[in-house]
Amino acid sequence: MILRMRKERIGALSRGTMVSLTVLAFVLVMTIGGAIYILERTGEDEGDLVIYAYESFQSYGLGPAVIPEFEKMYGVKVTVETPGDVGTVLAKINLEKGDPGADVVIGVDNSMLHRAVEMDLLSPYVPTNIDRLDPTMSFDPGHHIVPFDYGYIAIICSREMMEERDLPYPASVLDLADPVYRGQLLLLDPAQSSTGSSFMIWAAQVAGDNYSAFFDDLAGNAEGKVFGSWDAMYNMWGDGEAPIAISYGLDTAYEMMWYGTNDTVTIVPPEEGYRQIEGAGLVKGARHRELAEKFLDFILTDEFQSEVYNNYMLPVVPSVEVNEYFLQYGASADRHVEPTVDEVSAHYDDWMAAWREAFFG
Amino acid sequence: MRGRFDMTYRAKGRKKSVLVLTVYSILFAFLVLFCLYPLFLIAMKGITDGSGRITSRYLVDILRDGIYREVIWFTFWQAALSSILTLLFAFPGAYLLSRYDFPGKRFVIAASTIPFVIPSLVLAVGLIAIFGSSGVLSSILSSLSIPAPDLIGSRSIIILAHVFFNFPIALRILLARFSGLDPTLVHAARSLGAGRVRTFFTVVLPQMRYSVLSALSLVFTFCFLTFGIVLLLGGLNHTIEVEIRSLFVGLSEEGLHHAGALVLVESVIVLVTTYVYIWSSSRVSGRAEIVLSRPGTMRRKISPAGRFLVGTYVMLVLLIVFLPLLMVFLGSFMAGRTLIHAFTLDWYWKIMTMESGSGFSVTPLDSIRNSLLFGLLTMLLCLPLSYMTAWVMVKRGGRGKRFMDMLLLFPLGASSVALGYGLVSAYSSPPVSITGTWYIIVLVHSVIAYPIGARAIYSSMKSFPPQLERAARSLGASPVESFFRVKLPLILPGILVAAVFAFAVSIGELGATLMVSSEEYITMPVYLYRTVEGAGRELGPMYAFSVILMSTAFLSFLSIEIIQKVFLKWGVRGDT
Repeated sequence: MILRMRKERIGALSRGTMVSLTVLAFVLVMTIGGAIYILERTGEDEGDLVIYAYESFQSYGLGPAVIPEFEKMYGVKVTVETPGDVGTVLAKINLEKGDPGADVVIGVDNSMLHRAVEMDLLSPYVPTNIDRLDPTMSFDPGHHIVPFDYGYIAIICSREMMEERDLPYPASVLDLADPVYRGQLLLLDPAQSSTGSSFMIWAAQVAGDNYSAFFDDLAGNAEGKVFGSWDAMYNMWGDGEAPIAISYGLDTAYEMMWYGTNDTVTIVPPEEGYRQIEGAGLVKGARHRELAEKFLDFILTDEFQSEVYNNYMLPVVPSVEVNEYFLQYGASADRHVEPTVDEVSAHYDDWMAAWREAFFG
Repeated sequence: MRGRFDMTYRAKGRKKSVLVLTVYSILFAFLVLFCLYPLFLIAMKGITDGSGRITSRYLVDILRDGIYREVIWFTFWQAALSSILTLLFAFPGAYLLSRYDFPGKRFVIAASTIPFVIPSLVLAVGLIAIFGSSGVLSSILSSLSIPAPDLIGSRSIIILAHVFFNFPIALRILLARFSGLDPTLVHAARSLGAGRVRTFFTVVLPQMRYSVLSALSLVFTFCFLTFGIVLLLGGLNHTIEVEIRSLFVGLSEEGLHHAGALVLVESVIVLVTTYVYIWSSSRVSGRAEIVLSRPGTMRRKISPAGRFLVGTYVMLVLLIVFLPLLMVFLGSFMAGRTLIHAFTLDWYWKIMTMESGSGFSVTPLDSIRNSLLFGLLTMLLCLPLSYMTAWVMVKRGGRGKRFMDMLLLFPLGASSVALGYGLVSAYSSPPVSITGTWYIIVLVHSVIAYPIGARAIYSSMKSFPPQLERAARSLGASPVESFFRVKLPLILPGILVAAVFAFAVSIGELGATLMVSSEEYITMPVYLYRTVEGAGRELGPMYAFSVILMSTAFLSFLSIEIIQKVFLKWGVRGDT
């Protein structure tokens, strides 16, 4: 009898279970719904123009100085995304080729442009005010990017340590292969750092056909002190890891400006200058092309150019006034050895292979 | 309805139930769409040239080219060395812990679960705090005027980190088996005149072989697929995963093909080790259940020598598990760069008030919010996936079972970097464009996390006797009711473990997330990685952020424990 009565309840749930299940289902739906709502709202927040830039564009202060200016000029909202260094930024644009998220990319320099061109990431554009640009800066006849600032790649030495160790100052990039500098040198990995790849191109240009042997000697002198990022290398240099490192022509100016000391000796050999020229380009298939073109024009205006000192770089428009520290302490060259994009494109893989063989082989 | 439930419990060879088939199709659809197809695209790059013709060129390249060969070789030997060292370290510990009882033993065992839920990045930061150029070790050594070795960026730190990170896993696998050893065999051997040492080598050790193999292969797999630790600590030493990533962001067509070839080589090796793991652990768990119900018989009163051994070992375990975390924790409250400094909350304050625009267009708080939401959604998506996987693994027997299980657990051994990149490149142009969305992150986290959860649910489901459910049914409970009243409470521990894992994986994942996440959906590990990489000079905020990341993971772990208690109570009350 009892068995029979219990059988009646098959299929029905006890009330306790029902209530708990309902509560559970309700909580679940609310949680999922809430989470999705918040995430969706985060994604909606997109501007009229989307710029991908390397991190230091925002952190050094150039972005925060010029972007609001542009927004005010055209009454638009600009979104700046900083996914990482230039390599990461370009890789992201490459991934999004089918459905570009960005309109403008900021920070493609003359050591990286060939990649962007090979991967067909950029759409050529000639700014209406192109005549303002210093003609020696146009290393890209195809107009894939508009240069916005530049800086000399330089050899920096700690005066104190050089004197302490009684080392001669290098007069040419080629001197760095001299055995006296064994263990005295911090270098950068060109595969990871754009300063590093600029240096590699510079070194290869100066060494000419002997670049392979020169890289071997450099690798011997570096004794494994090769860094993945300029930040990491510069910190180690500051900590006295070695007296010589690869950096920029304005390093002494920077030290004077912020610390008032003059320990950094910045060397740019006058006959073999290499300028890292940074530019901005129009992403192929950009959704807001019209505004993107306006932004590229904006780059060559005084409003933008007078702010590039934030990047510790120099303006590409000759008429723009330069900070007095930069004028007084900045190192520069009379002759330049920068290759064109096509030359970089033709040799880059060989240089890279030789470099890797020398340093990691 | 009734017939269907009964039939699935019956022996193999019968008509498969519709339900099993449906569950299989759902799982495979998910697996193919979000894991196999994206990985296939990447792997194809490795064996086709620019115009799509099959070529072996890239495979030959990476096996012959000095640098790629070096990367593959380094990945292999560091994984081998790391896993052997891990085992050497865990084996005696598991033996001691299983043989001796001592106060605080449960705490030590519980503490060894912590690395399961702590993201590897936090551990890496912890090691920087200890071994870095301004770390504890170098400040102690330099105060004794001994030159401190700079380990960060070296190969030894990678291996050290792997042992730190994986030793608790090995310890648990071995401990489970040691505590389950059949003591009568040992007694028999001893009474037949075998000495202690001989008994150990001829009786105990042979019984341990599958556990050792299972721990070894699992740790090897983890170390082989390592990413975050090498990226942060390895300097210029690249493992395959790190190399693949740098090729993906390296923007050369040639590089992409080489990356594809590397993914292929990596997958082949990992498939073998995963297979060994699944095979050997199935040999272990086949017997574990019986012996687990016979506790304590092998344990002995502790001798002075044993006390010393156990004491030393326990101290070591605690040191290994807690020291890196403790250092991060202390560092986050210290005003200066070295250990002994004034207490400060500045770093936390800095994180909480950091405005967007200082290097990132998002704030640390954004990344914390995102990670919590992704963790939650991943957990909710993973639970049904893990449950279904475990369910079909239990239900289906017969031929081809191991192959099907392997396939279902495939993402365990998948390259997360390639998975992330593959997902983006597979679904990045209209009509299906999921790049830059929030759900691509939830998807990729779920793909990576669900097999781990499935294994947890599977082992608790396997020890659930099907008769119990049938008994409940025959006593008049409906299928739903018997599920909620009988089966669920018994397999709940497994489900909760799966939930913790899913959440922990999502909170700590770096390799795939780095490839798929867009700026507005940045996660905590990506933020932490970029902080470490970008502004290496300021350690304070990095420590503070690590503490937040680690507490989030740890709190999720705790809250699940609490939920488990509450649930079990509720289950008991329901019975009365």
